[in-house]
Amino acid sequence: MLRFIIRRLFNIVFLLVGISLVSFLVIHLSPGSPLGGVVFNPKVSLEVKAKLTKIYGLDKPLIQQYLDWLRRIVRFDFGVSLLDGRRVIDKIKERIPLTLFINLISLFIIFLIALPLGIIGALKKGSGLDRAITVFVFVGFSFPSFWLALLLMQTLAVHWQIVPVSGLVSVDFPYYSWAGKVWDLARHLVLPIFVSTFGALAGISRYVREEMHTALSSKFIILARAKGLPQRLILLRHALRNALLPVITILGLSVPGLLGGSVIFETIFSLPGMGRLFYEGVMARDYPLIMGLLVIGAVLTLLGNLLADIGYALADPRIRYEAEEK
Amino acid sequence: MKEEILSAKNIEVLTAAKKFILKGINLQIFSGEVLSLAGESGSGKSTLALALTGLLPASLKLGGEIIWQKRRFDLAALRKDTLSSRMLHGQISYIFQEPSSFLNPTLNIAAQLTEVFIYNQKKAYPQALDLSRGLLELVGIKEAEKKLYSFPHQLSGGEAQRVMIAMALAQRPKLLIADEPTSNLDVTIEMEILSLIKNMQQRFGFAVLFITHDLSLVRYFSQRVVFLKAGRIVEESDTAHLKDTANPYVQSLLEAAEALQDYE
Amino acid sequence: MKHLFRNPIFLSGFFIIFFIAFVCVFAPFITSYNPNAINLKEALLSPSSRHLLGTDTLGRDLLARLLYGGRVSLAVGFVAVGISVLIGVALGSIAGFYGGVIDEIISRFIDIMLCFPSFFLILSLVALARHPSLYIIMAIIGFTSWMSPARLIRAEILSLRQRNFVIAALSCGLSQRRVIMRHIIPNAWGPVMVNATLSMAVAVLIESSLSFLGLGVQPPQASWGNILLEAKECLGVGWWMSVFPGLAIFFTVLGLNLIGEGIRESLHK
Repeated sequence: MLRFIIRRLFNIVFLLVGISLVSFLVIHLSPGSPLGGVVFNPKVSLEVKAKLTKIYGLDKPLIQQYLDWLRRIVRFDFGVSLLDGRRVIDKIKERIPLTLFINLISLFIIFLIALPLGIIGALKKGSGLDRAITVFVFVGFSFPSFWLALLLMQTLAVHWQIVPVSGLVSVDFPYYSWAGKVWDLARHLVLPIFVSTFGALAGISRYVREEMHTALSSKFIILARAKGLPQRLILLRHALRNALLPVITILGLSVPGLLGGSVIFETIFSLPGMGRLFYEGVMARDYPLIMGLLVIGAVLTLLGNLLADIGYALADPRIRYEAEEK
Repeated sequence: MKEEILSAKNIEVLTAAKKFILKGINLQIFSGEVLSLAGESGSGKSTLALALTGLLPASLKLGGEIIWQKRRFDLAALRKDTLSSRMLHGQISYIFQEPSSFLNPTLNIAAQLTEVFIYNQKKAYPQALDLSRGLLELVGIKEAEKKLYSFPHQLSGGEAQRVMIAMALAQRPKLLIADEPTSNLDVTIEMEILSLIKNMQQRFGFAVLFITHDLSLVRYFSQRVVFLKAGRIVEESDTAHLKDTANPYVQSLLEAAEALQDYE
Repeated sequence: MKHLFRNPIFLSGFFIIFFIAFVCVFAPFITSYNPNAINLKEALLSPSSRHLLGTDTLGRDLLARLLYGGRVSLAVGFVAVGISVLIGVALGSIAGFYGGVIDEIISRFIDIMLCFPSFFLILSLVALARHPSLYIIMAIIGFTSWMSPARLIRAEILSLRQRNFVIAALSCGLSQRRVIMRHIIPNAWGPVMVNATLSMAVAVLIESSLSFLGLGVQPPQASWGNILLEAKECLGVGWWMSVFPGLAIFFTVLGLNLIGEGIRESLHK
């Protein structure tokens, strides 16, 4: 286990360096330079350009620039936003909790629904029920999440006015009681959570079905049946336990997809999360902000993978007791 | 004449594409005897072993019936009837080739042994644990207490097969079906495992259906042998009279076994 | 191939995509309206015999905009996947075949690229490109999605290399490049095709998402995504503006997913 963790940590350091290198190259080698429009703007005098170049260290060799930049980002110093002059990391920090909150709730709901769907699909493979689930999976796969958001907004929020159209809270939120505040938040978040759940649900229930099917057709299930164990025990203790192992990994691997999805639904529903911040940054060509978010997004992905790996290692005795072998 | 405990009638197994894997298999096993089932690889031995109690994967079509201790079981129906199936498996135990892939990789040995006592014999956990430890010692596992809390991947091939035998004994079987139990093991360990099975058989008096491709083991181990070729039974004889056979398939298998022995 | 055209999943996907591609390519023969002709007198008309799918806020015929917009979506999907498969197959086969340090470098690079949420990477590049034309969007999607075909090809080659016919070909003295071209690429083709159709579905979704966020295809040029953006801006009026383009995206993506699944199934037979 210890060896496993050390190897993982080493790998992470390597990946972090790689992430920083790629982010740096993306912004420095692309046609628009970190100075944004300034360089190409004929109205800006040559002296000002030179001054800006000096400030950003663009006159130094590329390697030097990278090392300087790296020295800053290990301290999460991504510079200041071009829009309002605030520190990029502060802007990101206040936006992360909402995005995390929505995605964790969606993940929870996804697994709550995907597990039984996948298990039923695997148990009754080829039956009418399994086919119905498969059709649902394909529809879910193909349904553009932003279209779903738009349709829900149009029907539930605009036409029937059951839920608010967008935003996180109502205007008079501060005057609500404690319960009123929770209720108001819930009403605002129900559509975003539904949209972000729907997109990933299909893929994960499909995955659970495949894993469950693999587990059910493996040899240890034959032995479990040969032992005359009750059906329930065979399914839960033997099959599901093994099928869930790879599903843990999916949790980690779903982080980048969820972050990307956040951009879409947070923008549509005007929610002040990390995704909407990215959208605002892109619209304003706020390069320091974009870079900061790109790096943070990659780091969060890495973190997700790490958590999944550790979870897997804890759940799978073959890795947990690796060191004791021989 | 000994009492017949299992009789298989007209067992057939088909693939989804309607291709026969086994056809018209009739077989009797008498209480306390060791019956060998021999044949070249691909002849359908392992399939027959699983078919006898309806353990085949659902993708294969299964027909025929068995009579187990005077009770009739239709095999196709048995696969869906969990109650009869559990009853049957409480009395017929299996050990397999590649024991380590038949043990559940995510559960420790204690969990996989005690569950037989707890769920089939309604014993409490502490008692089940004592019984499990006793069984591990019985099948000759050293440091039984430690191995109880080991996981399958931490066992050697020989140890895994001993655990599998312990698991089979836990059910107090009347019949043990041993599907090539030693073909993945070293020769020295092979003999240990075989004599262990023989010991246990004499001690507890269960019948054994011993499946192998190795005719030298057949003579060492059993009184009677059935030969399988391409999904059909082609010969049935006492092991003592094996040399006198007129069946060319059996002759060729015998010659192969002798050639191999000379070579070794 | 025979297997494929008997697979119902593949066939249904194939007919959906064939139909959509057909009507988009032959758009001028199906509608006589110019997709960009503004006619404010006919703004926001609901579907009728005159305008089969209605008109938008500027009185442009929605059917015409859908058909011409479909050309954009399909072209982006097709070219982007072409780029990603090309890069992926090249890097993947180099890594898989030469192994050693080269494989290590390419594999690590893939790992690093996969750390970035792909939509984040795409948005960053769109922001950097400043005035993203259609071609730049194709390139951006292609350059950020080559990792999975690369991994696939690499894994496929590693497993094929162990197979006897490749070992035999190599020991007969055939050059490595020849073995790759003659024996390995044809065998790895199936999984890559599955991956390519599924990636094309994703590319269509990405393009329409970008256009819906106002960062992709720019008006007046029509795309399914930016029609939906207009629909969002006049929420509550003109349901047809948000329903039909969405259906078009949905069926395109569904068709591609079905084709991919169909190929996958027939490969496993």
